[in-house]
Amino acid sequence: MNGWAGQRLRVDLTTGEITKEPLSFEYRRKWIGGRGFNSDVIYNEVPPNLDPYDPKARVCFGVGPMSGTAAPSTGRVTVSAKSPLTGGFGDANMGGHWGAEVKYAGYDQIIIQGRAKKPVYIWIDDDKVEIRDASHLWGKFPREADQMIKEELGDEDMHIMMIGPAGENMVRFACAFNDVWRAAGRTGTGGVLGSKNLKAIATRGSGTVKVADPKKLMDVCNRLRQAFKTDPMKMGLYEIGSLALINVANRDGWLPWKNFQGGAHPDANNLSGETHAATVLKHREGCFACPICCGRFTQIRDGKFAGEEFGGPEYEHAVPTGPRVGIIDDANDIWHNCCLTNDYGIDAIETGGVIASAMEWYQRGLITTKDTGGLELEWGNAEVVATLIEQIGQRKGFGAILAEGADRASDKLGLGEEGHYYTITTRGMTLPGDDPRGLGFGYGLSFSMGTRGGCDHLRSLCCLELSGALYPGLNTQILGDESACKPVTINSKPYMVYYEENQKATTDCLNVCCFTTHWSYAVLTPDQVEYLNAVTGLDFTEEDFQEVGERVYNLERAYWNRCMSGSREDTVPERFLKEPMPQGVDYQTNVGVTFPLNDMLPQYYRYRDWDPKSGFPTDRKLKQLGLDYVAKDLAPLRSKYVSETEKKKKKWYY
Amino acid sequence: MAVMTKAQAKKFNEMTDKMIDVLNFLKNGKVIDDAEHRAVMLKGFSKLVDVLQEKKIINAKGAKAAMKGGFDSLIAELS
Amino acid sequence: MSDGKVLLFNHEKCAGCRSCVVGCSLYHDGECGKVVSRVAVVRNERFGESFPVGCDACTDAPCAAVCPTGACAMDHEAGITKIDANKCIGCKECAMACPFAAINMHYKTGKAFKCDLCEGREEGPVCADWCPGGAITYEAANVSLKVKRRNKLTERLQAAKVGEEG
Repeated sequence: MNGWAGQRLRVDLTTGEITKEPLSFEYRRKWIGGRGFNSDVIYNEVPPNLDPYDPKARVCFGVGPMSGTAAPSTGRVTVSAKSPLTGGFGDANMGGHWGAEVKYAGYDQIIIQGRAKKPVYIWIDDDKVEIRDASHLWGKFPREADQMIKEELGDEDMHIMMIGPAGENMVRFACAFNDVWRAAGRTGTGGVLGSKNLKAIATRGSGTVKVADPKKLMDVCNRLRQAFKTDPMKMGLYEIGSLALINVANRDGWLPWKNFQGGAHPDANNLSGETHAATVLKHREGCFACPICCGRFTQIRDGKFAGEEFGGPEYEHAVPTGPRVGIIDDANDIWHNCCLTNDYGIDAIETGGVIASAMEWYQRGLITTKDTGGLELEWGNAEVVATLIEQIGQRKGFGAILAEGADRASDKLGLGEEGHYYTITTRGMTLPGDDPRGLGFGYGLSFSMGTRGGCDHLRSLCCLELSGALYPGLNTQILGDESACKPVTINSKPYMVYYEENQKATTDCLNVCCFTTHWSYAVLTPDQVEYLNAVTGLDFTEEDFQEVGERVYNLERAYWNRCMSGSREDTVPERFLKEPMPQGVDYQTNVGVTFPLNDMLPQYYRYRDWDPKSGFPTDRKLKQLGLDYVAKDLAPLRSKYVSETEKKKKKWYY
Repeated sequence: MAVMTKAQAKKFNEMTDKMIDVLNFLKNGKVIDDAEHRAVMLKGFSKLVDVLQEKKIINAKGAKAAMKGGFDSLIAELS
Repeated sequence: MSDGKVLLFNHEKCAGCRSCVVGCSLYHDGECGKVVSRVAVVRNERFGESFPVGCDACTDAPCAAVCPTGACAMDHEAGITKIDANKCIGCKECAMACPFAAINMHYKTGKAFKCDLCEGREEGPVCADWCPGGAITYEAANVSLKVKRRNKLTERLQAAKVGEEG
């Protein structure tokens, strides 16, 4: 079979049963792979009212037909589960090389269900799959456990998916990794794995991906890789990593400062990509088949924490336990915090987010040292932040409350509606390091209704408003409006977000890296269609391609609807709607801006063909996408949701 | 070819986001059909320019201008 | 020292992406996978270390020296040894003899296969062409070594200057 392996692996940790399920042509054509396969399984097999830590819950690892091929950046994996953080649909995406290895071992997807009686790991050696004891690995940081498994199994070339202690302790925003450092950060899938007593999936694959038209694929891949050589985004990302964004964010006022009280700071350059490259960059890292290689490996050479080293950080990794919690003077504090979130295995964004919320509660007197176990949550107190990260990872002290996520923590501390104002979340999930008053109106629009919890930049990653300006004419080509390349304008943003969300979803089904198709636009949809058809031998069109993404997006939305979430929750944290952006530096470009969600959301619903009253997809849209069964599921819920809206208060998590 | 009045063009020009509105207008006026409406929604502006050029609603020069100037140019061509 | 172009592997610049590996496999075998690639990248993910490995185009090649059938022999025009699959008996002596472990046995035929510098490819070897960081380059060895010597000298002079100032 070309492209796909043609089967998924299902492991039931309660019974020990291991099954291989063939994937039909119709199924593969409809969902393609990766996020598509995962979302379908979660929708069908995980009831919306199930406790995410219940043994019946699923964790899915999906790769796509492009995984392991020579197209740009084909190592990624989508990890999906009902989220312990939000209670709704959750997924995350990780780079590295494990995705290619899973494909070479002969699987398009791995589904984990049940719960092992004691800690285990799974060993996949091509078609041989076994469940092995992991008691000796439990409690270990990924960097240690990775080596222990490689030595035990006698092969240092294998690739391993792994959780850290935070996942074992079921921290609600714990994450999964592969190749030690590559994180599937968001929505807490690591905790679901921990609840199943699954420490790792070690994988060795000796197979290959068959290609329908090798010459065609070689031509397309070659053309794209030649383009990457001079691509402006590639050059920046390769040189200084995603921290290249720090100085841009600072100028355009979207660098989170103190829980988004501000968007810029005079000392931002301390953690910029340029500074990182000059002081602590040990090595550049690339995921499988990547022409960009934006990954970093950091080694602190002098000053505080000298000698510490770790894989990373990304922009979104360094910002939350840096400027977002008021740390900006000594970058070594930030790198140290990045090392901690890696070692414990917690989503850095959510970790920094919940600490920042707690700091603002402390600042405003909603909590005191009585609540924090004596810790003084002063902005920029690096020692306290590092202590809290460890406490969260171990579910100890005040960290045990924060490990629940900001909204649950707020309720546990009895902070009422006021506490929630500072949690900076939508549907229970917090914002990444992109203040929508700066980056940008498109990003912010997609935060309001993104289908893995709002506040997520990776559902649309509408970089047409970020890097679009580096590709003159691109916004015109897709949107008919070049002025949309500015982040702080509403021009064409509803259509931009609709288009980019569909595009991103299909990209996630192929499981190629979206940095090749958003951020860098060296690969456009027609290129993806070309390489997909060259590999699979099928005849996808550009419309088909976008439609798959639209289908997946609507399915995920419907899952939220079944959780009783819809238009009532389609919003962004009030801070962005109400508080004009203050001045942080004199060259800041967005002073005074507030985020005009309601100038865009109604138009966006029209593109989606969602009923604006409930925020549920219409029957017409669902049937158009071949989701008649979903229309049936939603039919009794639509009016129920609307009447609930009329009656009840807003829900912060599910 | 003019498929809208200057007044309609002015209305479109005042909209900050107009893809769906322009498409609906063209469909209601039977300039494009359902399938073409759908294809443009999924593929984007360049597909709209292609469709209109194929139907000889705009000529090659107009198409080129539209790909350069976006909706501003296209709406001028269509009115 | 050969004047001909060969592949040079610089692990300091290797990001471990394996674009070389997957490109090589597609170009030669029409399928994608590490097991059918003529280059390899060894990684220590824990420490962020990556090592590209490929045929170093030995002038006095051990792989040819040990071959019992003459299947592996120097192609003097290309400046690299090549394996004639028709003559190869799959004894693995060449693979064992190679100081860089750059020769593998093919999963379909059981025969040895190795780098042929992508003979006939206009842009030169895929691995060097596709490497994002310049860790694999295709150039005349003595030219590259001259450049390296000069860079080393510049480094030493700069360090001495800093020492003086500091």
